[in-house]
Amino acid sequence: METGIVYNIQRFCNHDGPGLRTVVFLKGCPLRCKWCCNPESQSQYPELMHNPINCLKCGECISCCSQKSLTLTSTGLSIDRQTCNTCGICATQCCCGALQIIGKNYTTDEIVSMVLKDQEFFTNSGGGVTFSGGEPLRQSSFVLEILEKLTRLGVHTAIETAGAVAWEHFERVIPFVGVFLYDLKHIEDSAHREGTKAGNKLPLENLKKLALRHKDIIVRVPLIPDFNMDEKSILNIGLFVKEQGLKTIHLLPYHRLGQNKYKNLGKIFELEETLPPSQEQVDTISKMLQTKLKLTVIVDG
Amino acid sequence: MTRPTRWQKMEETSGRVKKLRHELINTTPEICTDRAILISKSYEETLSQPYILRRAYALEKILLNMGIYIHEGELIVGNLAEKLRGAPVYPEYAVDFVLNELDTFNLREADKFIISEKNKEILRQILPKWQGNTVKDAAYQLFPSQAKEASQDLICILTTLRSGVGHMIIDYKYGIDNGLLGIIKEIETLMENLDIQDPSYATKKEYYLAVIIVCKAAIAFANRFADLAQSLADSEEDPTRKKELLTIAKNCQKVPAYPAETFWEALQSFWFIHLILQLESNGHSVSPGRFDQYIYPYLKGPLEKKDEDQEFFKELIDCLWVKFNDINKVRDKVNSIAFGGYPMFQNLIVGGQTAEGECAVNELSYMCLSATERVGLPQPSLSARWYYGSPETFLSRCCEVASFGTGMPAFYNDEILIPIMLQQGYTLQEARDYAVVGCAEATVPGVSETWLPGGFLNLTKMIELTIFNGHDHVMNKQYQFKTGEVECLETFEEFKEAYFEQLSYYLKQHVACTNILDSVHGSLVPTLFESVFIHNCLENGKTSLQGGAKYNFTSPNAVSLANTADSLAAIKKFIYEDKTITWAELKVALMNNFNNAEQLRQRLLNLAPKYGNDDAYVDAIAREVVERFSKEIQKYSNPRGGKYQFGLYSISCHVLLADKVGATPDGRKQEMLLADGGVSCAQGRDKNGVTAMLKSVANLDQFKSSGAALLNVKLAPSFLKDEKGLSNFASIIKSYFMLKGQHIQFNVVDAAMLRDAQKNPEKYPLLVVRVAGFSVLFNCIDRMLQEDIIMRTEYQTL
Ligand code: SF4
Ligand code: SF4
Ligand code: SF4
Repeated sequence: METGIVYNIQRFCNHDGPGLRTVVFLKGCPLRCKWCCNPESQSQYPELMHNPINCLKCGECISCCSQKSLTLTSTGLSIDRQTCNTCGICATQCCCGALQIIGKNYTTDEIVSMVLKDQEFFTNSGGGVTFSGGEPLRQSSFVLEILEKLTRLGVHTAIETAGAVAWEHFERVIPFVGVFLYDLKHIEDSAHREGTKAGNKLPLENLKKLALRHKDIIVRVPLIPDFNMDEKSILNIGLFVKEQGLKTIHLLPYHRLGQNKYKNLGKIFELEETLPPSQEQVDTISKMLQTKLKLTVIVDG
Repeated sequence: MTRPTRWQKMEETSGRVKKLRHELINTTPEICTDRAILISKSYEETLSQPYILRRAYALEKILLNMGIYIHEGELIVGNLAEKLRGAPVYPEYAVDFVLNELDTFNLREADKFIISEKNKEILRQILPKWQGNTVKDAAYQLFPSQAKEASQDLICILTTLRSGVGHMIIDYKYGIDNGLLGIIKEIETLMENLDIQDPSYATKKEYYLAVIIVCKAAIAFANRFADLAQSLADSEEDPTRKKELLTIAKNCQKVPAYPAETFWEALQSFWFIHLILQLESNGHSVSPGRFDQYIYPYLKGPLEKKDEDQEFFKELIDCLWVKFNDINKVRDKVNSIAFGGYPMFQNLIVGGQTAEGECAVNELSYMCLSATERVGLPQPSLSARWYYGSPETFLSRCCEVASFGTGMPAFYNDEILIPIMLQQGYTLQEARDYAVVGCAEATVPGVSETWLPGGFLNLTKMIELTIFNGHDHVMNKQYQFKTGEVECLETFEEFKEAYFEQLSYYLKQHVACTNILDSVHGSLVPTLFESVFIHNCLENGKTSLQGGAKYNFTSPNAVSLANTADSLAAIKKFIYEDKTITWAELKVALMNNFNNAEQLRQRLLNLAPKYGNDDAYVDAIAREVVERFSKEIQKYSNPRGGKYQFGLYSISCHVLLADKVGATPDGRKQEMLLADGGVSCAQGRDKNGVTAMLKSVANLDQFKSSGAALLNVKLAPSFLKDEKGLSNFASIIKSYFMLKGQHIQFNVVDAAMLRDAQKNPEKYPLLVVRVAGFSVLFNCIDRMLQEDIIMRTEYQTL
């Protein structure tokens, strides 16, 4: 049986596919988007996260760390991430969940049984499971095994991907996927590289191929100020989508809800100063895509 | 596409209805004295009469003499008190609290009543004479001492000590279709046919004489409104209103004396009957039941004729809906916290199946939903029945109305409630005809005295009493009943058994009190008018409170199942399994309300499983508590020859009982509330979303809590902002019902709006929210309850 690393399983989701869904978040992503709202999804290894809001500053965790990575300072608990080996012992000692190890290995059966807990809700709402990340297709063997099992049980399936993986990973899961939610961030390679630290050759090529092979694809575009919200960038994305014969675009306006998680992981959030787009800006973009390109646009799909 | 807001929907009412609604909302309830004066006089005049006749003459006197009015624009007439939203006084139940609180009713933070100096004077004169002669006094002298102690200390709460029993759904159809004159004929025939050899000949004959008096008084009461309408018409300038008043006069001449014929007459007849029930006794939860079934025949014909004014039918319903909110009741201070927000629990249910098992949804079902949406007031408490065959359009319309956030309709599941009714001994036809009383209590209309206000038992207090061996450290008091030093209970099983012993002990005390109250109500305040419409009271020649009904039950309720299960789970895990916390440590922490023990509290709170997260460890414990309670209660029967059952709902008792329970092993501090609802999880502890929470709740054997299993769910309005949200909403309900849930209701309000309403109440005069099995105006409830509603987990879209 395959195993995979997962950092969250979220039940009762109203988005990310039809009906009520359980979203399985897989850890590890080839991209490093500046705006990423799930920084804990990027690394493919477990990480130690400390949430100061819950922390009582009791110091319980300090003595149990064999690496001496933890210290209590006047500003709160501090983690020396150079010496920490993410063994997770400190987290088991923390009484209020302020210290947590993010990312755990699961077998496919474990995931299947967790997803099936909401089977009645899937049946009645037409919902099911969505694999998100990170990049779920990075763990395609793991995902494939779960998809096969769930499809056999009549559960609707969806995959949210950024497409930056070798085509073969798509190839094997296609027969078991109900809908692909395909993130497209920019059409220009250089801009893409600037925003995500990787070029966009792979995502674009894969989308072209996928459009020929699968009929349910929804393209999702994060709206990031100073990155892809100008008319030209948006229209280029829209045109590309249209050229592949696709009809629907979801717009996901940038937000800063993930900001604290950067700090809690000891990472730096580059867009600290960037404000989320206004409702008018989002409406303008949405109208433009609808009128100029006749695409169906849904905000926050 | 954004959907309209509830405020936009409420604009859809007619000008007349808007005006009536405005007047009602802007009236501070007042305590009225007519009823108290009249009943006092009557009781003096009938001193030597048999009790049953004294009751009849008293009601007659009230109906013939109380102040009546017809408001400008009203189409359905009939008032409970001489002032709008006024509350009469019912001295026969209790006078102590009225006298004690006369000067403070208007100072209450919530459920405030004004009272004029003149009326205070009147009450100070007449009420003292009642002292020693009320239901409360009669019961108090009979209560065994330990039972009395338990009820005084609020380990159990008795709700019929100072008030009537209420909680009924009578056979409205029988009254509206036959008319009271027809019914009087039936009674006369029964009386004539009385067997002179029948040993209870005298009591039966007295009963018949008494019910005839009240039926005739009811007709005379309606005729007083006919006269009033006529005289108003005579001086009315506006020809449209004049015409309306003349029709009102005609209606009140005709009904409820004769069978109703038009839709308007049917509504008027309904209202008189419904009103008189509440003048006879102040027991709340007098519920209209299956209104869409028994009224529909009067609407079907006219609806088919296209020439009739369809808009006018809607307006009539709206007017009636406003009227429901005129009914009010003054409770003592303690009960005003347990029942926050002037709730009257007039539960009206639509949809479901007919007695024959066919789909019961009709045009009136939809019209009732729309009326609640448009009128936007808390009463009637609207409910909807669902079964596998319910049309999708019906469920989806119900969801749409519920999404506006008034908490209505609440949803009920035929697929479990009909089997429950069958198990209770009702016939299949009766079972399919069930309706809901008050908050969430299913019963069969017109045939039962279910004595649903069987009081409340505080399940979590008994955890405390088990841990401290019968010592109440909050009140610093030792109770007689002990289950042993907790350190000597070596296994979790032993601890659990000790807990169940405490539970059985207090249940026994509670039943003792409830049965005494049952007898006292039957002998002191039998409800004659009610009994006319509850089968087989007439045949049996006695009222429903004396055992005349075809089916008899008593139904107490258990409060705070969630805190109990969470506490038991924490004890099991930390003390008995992991052995990481000792009893000594825990006891000190609990006694000190977790002062200097925040770490321990956090462990209890975060590291033990919590009910509401689809976690088998604690869900199994919750299930077992319900099972044991059910087994225990089956031992008992009531003076009317019926069995005990129990329900899981709390009204707002969880607020009242909260600070009576010290800190608990689930990590709750004394000042924190107990869990709301009946089967809901503790506020904010369900971390895995609605579906996980529903699985936990459905894991309880809800078949056992036949009295009710009330579930509150709060959804964020953003979840329901579009069609997809609405359709997911419907599937949540269906799924929960397939998992065998009895009942579910939703608060759809965002915390930010509620916070704003707390700060600027004047901005939200019409903000209706769901508390437990009932909705109230947010501004009418006290701060604690407001906080509670805000704190309950709000499920966001994820
Ligand atoms: S592709 Fe998604 S998960 Fe990966 S870095 Fe970008 S935003 Fe984050
Ligand atoms: S054990 Fe938890 S609460 Fe205590 S200092 Fe460490 S992180 Fe903070
Ligand atoms: S994860 Fe292990 S090494 Fe890192 S701080 Fe915690 S105990 Fe120390």
